[in-house]
Formats: sequence, C-alpha cells, structure tokens
Amino acid sequence: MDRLDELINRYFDGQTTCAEERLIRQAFAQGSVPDELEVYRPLFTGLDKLSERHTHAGDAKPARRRRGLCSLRLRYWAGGVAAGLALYLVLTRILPGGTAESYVVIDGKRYTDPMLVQAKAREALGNVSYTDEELSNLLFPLEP
Amino acid sequence: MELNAFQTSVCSLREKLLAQARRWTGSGEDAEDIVQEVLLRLWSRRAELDRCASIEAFAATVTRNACIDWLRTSHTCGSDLSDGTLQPDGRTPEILLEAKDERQLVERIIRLLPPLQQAILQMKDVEGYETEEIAQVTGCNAEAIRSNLSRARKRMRDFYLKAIEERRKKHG
Repeated sequence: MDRLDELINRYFDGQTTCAEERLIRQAFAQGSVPDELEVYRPLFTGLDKLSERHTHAGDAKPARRRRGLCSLRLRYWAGGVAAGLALYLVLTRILPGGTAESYVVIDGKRYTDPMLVQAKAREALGNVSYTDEELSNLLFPLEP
Repeated sequence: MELNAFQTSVCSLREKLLAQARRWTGSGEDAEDIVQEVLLRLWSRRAELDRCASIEAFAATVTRNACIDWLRTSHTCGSDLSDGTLQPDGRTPEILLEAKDERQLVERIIRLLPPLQQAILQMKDVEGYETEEIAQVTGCNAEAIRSNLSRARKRMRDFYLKAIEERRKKHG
C-alpha cells in the first residue's frame, strides 16, 4: 500500500502515466485502501465515472478509435480473402472445366492440343468466310 | 482530423497565435497559457476543423475570445484561485456542496478551474491521453504540461478536500 501512497503523490505531481492512474482507480474501486487514503475515494471514484461516461459516449481518444478501425479493416480484409478463396474452390473443384481453356470436340471426344484447336478453328472460319471475288459477285450480280 | 494533420494545419499557427495573445495580454507567460488552451480547445473541436473554410481565421477568433475571457477574469475577479477558493469570504462554492454524487462533484470542481487547467485535466484524466500526447497537441514540451497538470490536480484536490470537509460539517 506504500506503493499506492507513492502513486497518489506522483499523480498530484503530474508524473503518472495513464496505466498508473488506472491502477490507482482500480485500487479504490476494488475496496481495500489504507485508512489515511480513504479520504480520496470519492475523488478517484468520480474521476473513474467521468472517464467511463466519456468512453461510453463514443468520445474516446483517437488512438483507441484507430485501434477499432484497424480491427474493422482487418475483418474486412479477412472477409475478402475468405470470399476469394471460396470462389477459387468453387471454380476449380466444384465446377471443373469452368476455366477459359481452349478445346475442340471431334466425334464426341474433347481435345485440348493447341495446334489442333487452332487448325480446327481456322477450318471453321474458312467455312463461313468469302473470298473477294465471291463477295463482289454476291454484292454486284452480273446482268444476264 | 488526426494528430499529424492537426500538427501541420493548426500547430504551425502557434507563433502567430502567440503574437496575437501577447498583444492582448502584454505578457509572454499568460500568452503561452492562452495559446496552449486555444490549441487544446481546437483539438477537442478537430472534427469541425475539417469543414472549416479557413482554419487560421477560426484559430485567430478562438484566440481572441480566449484573450477577452482572460482579461475579463483577471480584471473582474482579481484572483488566481491560488488559495483553492472562488468566494471572496473563502467559503466553498455552494455548487460543490450540493453535488449529488462523486461524479458530479468532480465534474463541478473541474469546471471551477482556469480554462487551461480544465482542458489539460479533461484530456489527461477523462479522455486518457498521455502527457507526451498533450504536449504534441499544444506544441510545447512535456515538462510544461506536467507542471500545469500538477497545478490543476493540486487545485482540484484543494477544492475537493474543502468541499468534503464543509459537507461533513453541514450534514453533521
């Protein structure tokens, strides 16, 4: 309890940290303080209540609010990572073949060889394209 | 507004505000106290500063008002409360004797202190800032804050001890 006495003296000299001031208030809140310090009980109880009311009013110092914000940002970030992971699992495990892979189906069989896919694609495009001569004939048919 | 932004946009005006307060008070020491008080007031209203068109004009107005308050108090009361009383006859103000609980008593005692001491006590004992953080807001050294904090707490203790003694006498 000498320690409490010393802390109170340092408090009035403006030398205590916030942590030490919390210790003083806790000592009075928990009850057991030496008789000669009992006189200060209403003072520290009053300060404790004022500080508590201020915190509850949402006016806590910015550092505390920053901690709250950090925690909120961390939660958002973790939520984003979890959502991304879930999407990845859905695309790769639950919906196989859902990726943008090129393939060609010949006689009901699926081929992914890039050379074969390109050749078949060119062939398919060739089937629907016109030469310049064919296009000209189509647009300007010769008079009979 | 965070501390860094406050230091850039408000604490940088310190010298100008100090010169303004010196012109009003004619005393470097009183001007220093007034500017500390003004910076603490501005810190407590930092949310409004973000919406303020000219922080410098706003700070100058707050400083002028603080100087007027200071002149009014020092001329009309002629007291620096150094004996822990506000009443001419040395009695404890009735407002303290009528406080209904500890919180109200402490709150009322704080309100009786000079504005700078009120502001420092509010930040340290109610809002939970460290002395070094208060020094950063006011742009002065931590030792100056400790000295004002100590004066504020000792004055609060004097008011408090007087009040509870008179309450005891009053209620038997």
